Amino acid sequence: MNKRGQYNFVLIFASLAGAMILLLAIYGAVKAGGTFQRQNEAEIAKSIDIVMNELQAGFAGAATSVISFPKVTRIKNECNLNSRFGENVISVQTKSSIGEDWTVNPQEYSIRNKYIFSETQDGKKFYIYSKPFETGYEVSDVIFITTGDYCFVYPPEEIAQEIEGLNVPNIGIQSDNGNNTCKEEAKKVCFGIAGCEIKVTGECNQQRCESEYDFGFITDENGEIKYYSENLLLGAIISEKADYECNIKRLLYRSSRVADILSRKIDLMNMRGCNNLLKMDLDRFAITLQNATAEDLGDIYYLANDLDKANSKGGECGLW
Amino acid sequence: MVNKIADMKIMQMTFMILFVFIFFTFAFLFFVSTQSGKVNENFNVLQKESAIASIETIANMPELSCDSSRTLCIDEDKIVVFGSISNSYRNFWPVASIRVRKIFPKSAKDIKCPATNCTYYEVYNSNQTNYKSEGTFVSICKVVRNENVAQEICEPGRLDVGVKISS
Repeated sequence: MNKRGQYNFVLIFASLAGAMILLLAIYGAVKAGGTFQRQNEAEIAKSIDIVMNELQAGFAGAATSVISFPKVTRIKNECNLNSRFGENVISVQTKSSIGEDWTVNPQEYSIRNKYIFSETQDGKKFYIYSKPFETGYEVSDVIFITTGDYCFVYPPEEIAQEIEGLNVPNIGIQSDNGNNTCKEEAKKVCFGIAGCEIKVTGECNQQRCESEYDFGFITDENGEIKYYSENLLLGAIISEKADYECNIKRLLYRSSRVADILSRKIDLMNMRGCNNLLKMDLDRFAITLQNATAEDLGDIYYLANDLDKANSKGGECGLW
Repeated sequence: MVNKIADMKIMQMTFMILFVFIFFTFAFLFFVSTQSGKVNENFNVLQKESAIASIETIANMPELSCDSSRTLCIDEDKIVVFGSISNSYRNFWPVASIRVRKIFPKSAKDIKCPATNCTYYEVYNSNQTNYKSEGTFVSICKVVRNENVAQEICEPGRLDVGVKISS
């Protein structure tokens, strides 16, 4: 009888202790798995930043690249203005087979020296385009990250040519000569006409405009209006309004800093006998840009145009 | 007697479980230390890659570059101007320091610009002590007017970027 009781006690004790160790091991493994997933995601976010450095278009005009992931991945990009230069906060979430579908509270990675426009979508393939943003002089490259498909319906010649030249796989074109490279489920973007999810309205109607669509606004499927100019069009199409306008503020502030540096450069050039008369215009332009928003892009387009023309008259003593 | 045997058995079992637990704890600690070493190593590799990739981006920034049509060309006037305002660009780059060095004529002494016969410009310094330098050769150019003709004069230089290293 005693032996049986003794045997039972040992069995219960061993089972309880064993179960506890086993549970602890499983808990540890799940936690460790989550940590490694977060580590992996943080590394991906940093790697995206490195890849984007290689993509700076520079004098090439534009650059295109693709990032492919083995698992369905979500790239989140938020813009915030916690400092004058602001920042893009990138986080990457990968789909997990254990526990929650997506990582909760993913590791965030701040990028202050880039201007990233993107949509929050899941996918395995992300397309990255880079184009220069200029306000007379070059300010920075702007980067667009998309994974969804778009269809540009009857775009003006110069936009159609640019898309074709970029060889952008997820943006199709439906042109008035009957050519159609759009995918069926693609989001439609109309130029000047209604009937699409997104409508682009060109507002550049002065003689100095190269095209009616040099600046204007887009109306998205939620009825929200986003103002754009030149190379920012794709950013306005793909981004959330708040993130888009935040990035524009960051870009315009950066432009004001460049204008300030150029204005001070004039002082040094004048001392060497290389006279440049743009100082006052640049100072005024820098003040205008400091607190400018997306709504001011049209006016900035004209001011930048005038500055560029005045600068080209400077010949060798030109600033850019 | 029976109680003593039972106590022994319980003790034996307790020690056994304790040893198993200690074994797994050590195995886990070993795994964690290996992984954290890897994380550290990955961090340093990514920091280095990031700095190397940043070098060209920094050289081509409008705040420093000659113009957008030329790569790896630094405007000497812009460096002078930028040196005085670089504090407002703190945390703008993922780097610890940026220096532009004149490499010709070679000088035995490092003299900070602006000064006579200076050898380098300190564009940005985060005052970090733990960093490693990566760099590339660049042209340092400025426009001067000689006998009523404005011309651009360039000299060879080196752009050095400090990479933060984790301790």
